[in-house]
Amino acid sequence: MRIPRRYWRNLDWPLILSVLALTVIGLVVIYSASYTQLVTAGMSPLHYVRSQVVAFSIGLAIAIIIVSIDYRAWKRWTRLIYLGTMALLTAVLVLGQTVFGSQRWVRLGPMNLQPSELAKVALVLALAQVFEDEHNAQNPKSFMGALVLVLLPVVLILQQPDLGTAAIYVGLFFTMWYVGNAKTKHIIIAGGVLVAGTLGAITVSLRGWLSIIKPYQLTRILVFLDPYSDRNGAGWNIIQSMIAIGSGGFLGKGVLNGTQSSLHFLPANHTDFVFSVIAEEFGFLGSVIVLTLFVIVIWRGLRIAAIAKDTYGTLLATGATSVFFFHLVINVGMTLGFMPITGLPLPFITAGGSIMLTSMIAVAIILNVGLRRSKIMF
Amino acid sequence: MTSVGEKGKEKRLFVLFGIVLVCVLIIIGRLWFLQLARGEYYARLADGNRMRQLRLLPPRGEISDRNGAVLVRSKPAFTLSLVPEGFGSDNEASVCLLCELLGLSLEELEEAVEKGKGFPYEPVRIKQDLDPETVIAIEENRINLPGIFIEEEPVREYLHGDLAAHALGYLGIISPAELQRYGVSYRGSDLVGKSGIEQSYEELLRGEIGALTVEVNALNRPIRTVNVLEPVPGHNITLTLDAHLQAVAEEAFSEHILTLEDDPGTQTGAVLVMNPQTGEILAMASIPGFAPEILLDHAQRNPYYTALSQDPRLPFFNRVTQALYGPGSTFKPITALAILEEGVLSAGDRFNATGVSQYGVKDWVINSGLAPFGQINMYDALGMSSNHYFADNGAKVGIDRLSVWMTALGFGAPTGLTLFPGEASGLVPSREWKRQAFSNRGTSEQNWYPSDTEQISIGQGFHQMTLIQLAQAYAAIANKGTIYKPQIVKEIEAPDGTVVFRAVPEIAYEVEAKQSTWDALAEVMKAPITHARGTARSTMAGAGYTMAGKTGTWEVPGSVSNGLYVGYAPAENPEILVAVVVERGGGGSSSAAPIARKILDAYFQRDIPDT
Repeated sequence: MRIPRRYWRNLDWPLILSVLALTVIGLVVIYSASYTQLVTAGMSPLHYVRSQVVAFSIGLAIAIIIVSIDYRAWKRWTRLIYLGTMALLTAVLVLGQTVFGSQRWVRLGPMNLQPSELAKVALVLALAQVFEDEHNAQNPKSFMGALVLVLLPVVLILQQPDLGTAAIYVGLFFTMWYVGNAKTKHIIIAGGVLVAGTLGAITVSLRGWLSIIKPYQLTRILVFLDPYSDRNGAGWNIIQSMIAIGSGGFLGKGVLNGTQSSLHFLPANHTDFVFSVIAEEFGFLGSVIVLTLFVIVIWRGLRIAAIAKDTYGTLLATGATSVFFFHLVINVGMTLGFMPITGLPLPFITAGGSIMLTSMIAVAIILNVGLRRSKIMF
Repeated sequence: MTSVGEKGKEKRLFVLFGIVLVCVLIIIGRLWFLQLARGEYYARLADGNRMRQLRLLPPRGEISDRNGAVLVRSKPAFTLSLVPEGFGSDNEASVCLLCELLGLSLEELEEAVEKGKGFPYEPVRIKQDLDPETVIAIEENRINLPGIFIEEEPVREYLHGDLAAHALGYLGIISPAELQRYGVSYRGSDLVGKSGIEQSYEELLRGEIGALTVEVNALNRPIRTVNVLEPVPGHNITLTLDAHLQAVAEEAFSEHILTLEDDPGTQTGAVLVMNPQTGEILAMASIPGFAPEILLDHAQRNPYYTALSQDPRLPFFNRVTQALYGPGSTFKPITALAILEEGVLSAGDRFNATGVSQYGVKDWVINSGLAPFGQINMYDALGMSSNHYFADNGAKVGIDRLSVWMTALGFGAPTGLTLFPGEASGLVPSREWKRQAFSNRGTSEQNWYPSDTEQISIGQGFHQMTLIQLAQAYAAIANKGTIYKPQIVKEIEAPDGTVVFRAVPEIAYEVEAKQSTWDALAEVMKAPITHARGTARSTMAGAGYTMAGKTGTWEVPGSVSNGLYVGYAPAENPEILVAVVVERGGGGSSSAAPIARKILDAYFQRDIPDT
């Protein structure tokens, strides 16, 4: 499929450059954070950097393909994509590999794939299709249909269990519902029900009446409220992360000089706690730069949503953008002790193939919508 | 149904972006708080995380005998420590694994952690002298044992087993009181000298603790050394003891008591060998002894200590310095000194020993149904150990003068030996003493009677003295007046090789007596060996050297007597003095004198370098 040349003028360069900048920063941080660990293990210090570059390249190739297909043509594939990812999510539960106590991965050819990442894209596509019709957001029957669409993956993912990703789906749903013309009153009611339900589940589990939330999740929640209640156990990560961030100061300790990170006080330092490494090694200044880049990405994404040619495009761009936002808030919030610990990655920066692919697909979706914003005259 | 249209969508997207901005600003605010407002606090925490102050324990000083033979030294060994903050005591799997690897119970582990606590993040010593297999097992499980350190820490090695245990002493876990006394460089899990030289010279032997500041990773593995304060090894101590003579003394005692009739093996006693001309102690044995090595062993320490503490023979008790004995007839030379000096009789004066003194003290010949000694001089009296002679003439000296002489010879006061635990003082019987000692009884019992003086004169009655005091009194006779302070440390050498202490003979007492008295005493002191009916004659027969000495038997009411012998050699220029007590050994000539003979023989067969 050929893309008319004038479309390229519509490419959102601030978005692309921000994504590139974040990816490059990510490579540096991954290198720094994994250096001692890899060298100690007798491996190349570039081990994770190389994988990340490969993942980025694959993501780039997929993104180019996605960008070249008019997003409106996706509609007919949505049902298939959605059902396919749900099948994968089910497969993970049955034959997935357990990493750090939860099953999130399924082996697909040469790489480990995290279907819950792909499911985000599927959900964005499905919800965009539902809320494209502006009546659906306020029509109880359609709303219930949309709710089923999101609850199905949420329930599957909670089985893994992956609280963070489930939270992202819920956030995704609320965002797209809101932009898809939900009544504010309904949003507030639904939000209230959600909060009440969550608190209820915690209470019920805490009292030991019903084990809705698993004990380790409860510990994480309680520890998040007071990390020092379990300073050597679950609270360790939060405390060490805050020490890493705080000790970074204004300018940071410099690449490879983060003691918290290189000496492994910081757990999962090139994945979940990668932001703590940024804050430790690049300081307040570096952290604010990274945050600014994310704000640019989100700003450009929402801008494209605003100027999209149709509601479907608006919803696609909004959904894709909100993936970045929720990841950012939950991941960074965790490192700062705002949020409970969930194994949620930071897009573009965390080392990992699945999140890189998902992020690149999301960027491609946004760019695609932006590319085709003007009325096309053939 | 309402439609928001294009404008409404844009507005909602603005609201969303507003929410995003608020969230990001909150994050930035939090970063500002952590990194700028409290940056220094967290920087300190990060340092605390990665810096560990490890104590570098110096090798404890060596203890050698007078000839340089090492008795105790420090050998390299491994100690396991853990940083409680890094270990995570709630980490059940690690705790169980550690217990299993070390063979400790959970309670023992907890106790070790509690005892060893120092500064925060300082490793706490858990177990010393790990065997190599344990070290390997721990290294292999390192990943599951966060906060564990394996440090090099020398442990004590006893090259001669339990030889001279009382003189050397033993090491044990520091007590709370000791911890307070020794100060901040000690930890609750440290070993300190509990007795003997190890205790008396604890701080010199120990050396100075060094410190190693290392950077560690989260597994607590040292990554980089930040600063080293080298430890200073302990001082080496050379004792006046002669290891060979000490071994002879201990063996002679153990072997000889087996030949005695009264339940051999339960006998207790003490041997002291000194050079009277310097006060140097050549051997010091208290029987039974103990094994300092077992007291250091983790597995055996506690049951062994309990067994020793409950042993009725009191193995920890140093019978040379702490036990109070009655001298029996070994006291007679002191009475003889008083008799001569007070002018009661001269050595050659005849005395008619009918066998029973004025107040009923009998000669042993009478008890045995033999003829009384008859006309005897002091030489005969001492040689045959006549009670009648010394009881009557001692009574003529009187308790007041006798007690003055005893005090002059050092009785009733510690001899000044620097060795823990401290010496017993003993007592000098006197009228005043008796009044106070019996102050809760009737006046008749508080009064001093001539019969009391008779008993004192022959070494029975109220006497209470240590073996070392008795030996010191003999030293006065051997030296003709001079008593040197007993010394057990010959030299102390700093780790850099400089000698910080070298023992020089120190006069403790100068006993004022006429030269003729000393000369006479020197003669009569040979009598027990040379006299035809000398009490030690057969035991000492055939020695290739001259000697002087006195047997003694302390009567223990209702039990077997204690046998004693105190003597010196060569008789003309005494350079070795031996004092032996065999508790419940029976007569001194059969129980104690043979032990002394073996020691003297060993001494004269092997020249002691004299420096």
